[in-house]
Amino acid sequence: MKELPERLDEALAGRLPPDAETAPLLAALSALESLQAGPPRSAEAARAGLEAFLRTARQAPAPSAVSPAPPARLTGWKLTLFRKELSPMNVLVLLALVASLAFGGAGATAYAAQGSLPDEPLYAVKLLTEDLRQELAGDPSAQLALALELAQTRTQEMARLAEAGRAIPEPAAARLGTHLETALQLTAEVGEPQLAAALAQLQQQTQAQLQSVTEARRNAPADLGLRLAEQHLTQTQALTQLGLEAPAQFRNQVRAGQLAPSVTPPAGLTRPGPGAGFGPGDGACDENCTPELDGNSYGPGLQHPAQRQRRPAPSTVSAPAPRRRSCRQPAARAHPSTMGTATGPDLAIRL
Amino acid sequence: MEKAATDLLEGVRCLDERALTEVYQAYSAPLYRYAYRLLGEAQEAEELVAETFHRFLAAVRRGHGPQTSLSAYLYRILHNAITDRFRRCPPPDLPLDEELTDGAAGDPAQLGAAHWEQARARALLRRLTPEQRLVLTLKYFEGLSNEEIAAVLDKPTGAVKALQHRGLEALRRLLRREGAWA
Repeated sequence: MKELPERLDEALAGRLPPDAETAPLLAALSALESLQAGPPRSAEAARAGLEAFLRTARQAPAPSAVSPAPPARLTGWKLTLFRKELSPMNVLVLLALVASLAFGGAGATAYAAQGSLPDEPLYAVKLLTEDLRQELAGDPSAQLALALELAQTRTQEMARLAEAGRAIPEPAAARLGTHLETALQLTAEVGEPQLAAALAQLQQQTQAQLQSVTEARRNAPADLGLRLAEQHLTQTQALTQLGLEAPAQFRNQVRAGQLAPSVTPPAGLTRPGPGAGFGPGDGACDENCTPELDGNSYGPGLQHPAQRQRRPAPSTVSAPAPRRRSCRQPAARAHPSTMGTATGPDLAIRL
Repeated sequence: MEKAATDLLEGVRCLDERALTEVYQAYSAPLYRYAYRLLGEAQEAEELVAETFHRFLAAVRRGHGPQTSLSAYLYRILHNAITDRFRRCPPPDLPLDEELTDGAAGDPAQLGAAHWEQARARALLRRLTPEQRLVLTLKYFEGLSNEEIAAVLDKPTGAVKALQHRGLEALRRLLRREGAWA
């Protein structure tokens, strides 16, 4: 026997007589009989509807009779280096490969250069990446942290070189001075509440670095680079101490570019002994003293004490060559202690 | 599909004015009847017929539109439009039939009874599900076959028969609840 929906459909079509189940359902349908005869549609409304329909159809250009064809697939030969189609993902992979080949080598070189020492070929790359980091450092606190980090890096490089018995190149020591100078200038701009903490941090770090350099100097006491680094660290320590005791004076001095404090140079550097270079010394020199340039072509002999006072005893080191500064760094004025000093060996330093 | 129907569909896709006119003249009247039976208002029925042809044109412009049966496509649009209308603003249970109240000739008592019967029938239809309502209306008033209704619903004919059965069962329950049928 057929299912009820099927029998109902047959009964509705008159192909089956109603049964006990379908008869009540067919009878219920008569309740809708009143809707069978609907009113005729208004001819005017039908005409207006047709006009509106056609008017709407005319408003836009007729579309193409057929749907747009999909991109045709190639079936023949095609002279190309690549496959006939490049999927978007393949293009991305290709671009990534090209980028990695172009820049990956440089990145690997920069990474390898990070462990290099000042007298090694890749050291220039290391300095380049450091300069880039300094350029990208945004806020002053980040710049200060970076300057301290780079100063620490320079000190460690010097210690490694000294440990290996290699000479410390001058640029490395000069760069340490630049980092310390930057750190001092940034510290001078720190707000009052944070100044003491910043100075304490700078002092603590330079103290540790000074110990490291002093220790390295025991192995290479004549190394000029180490001597220069020691000078920079000592100067920075003196200035930080000044900042802790007199913050206003510290700020003024640093902002004025007077980064060379009245620091007593390390013993043995201020008073050159006989044969140390120019100058008469303390008058106790023997015939090996440098002649006084008084035009008489004779030696200076013993000088008058008053004359010795007028001319300060020269140091073995002198004022540095002008260093390139960033725009925000004021040009350092020569400290009085650097004036009138004679040129020493190939090393230039402010005292 | 017959060649005439195929040509008509091709003309519709090209927005050929003659084909469009033919479509409107062939289908607007049954669509109007369908809408009027469910709504009971001539103006509203005309609006929904106009809306149906507007949506039809928009679909054709987008490259869609009917692929096989024009009538099924148009009935489906109208059915959806009426369903939306019922959802937005449900009509009163027993609305006045304007054709019976607007100067129609005849005995007022008979007119009143006819009006009551039509309003009751519409109220019963509206209480069915939209698909049950569509099947019963198209089959018993418009005379569409199961296959044609299946095309409108995009369902197999077996589903149409099942909807027809459930619609009549629901109708019988509603009538029994009203007390008119034991």
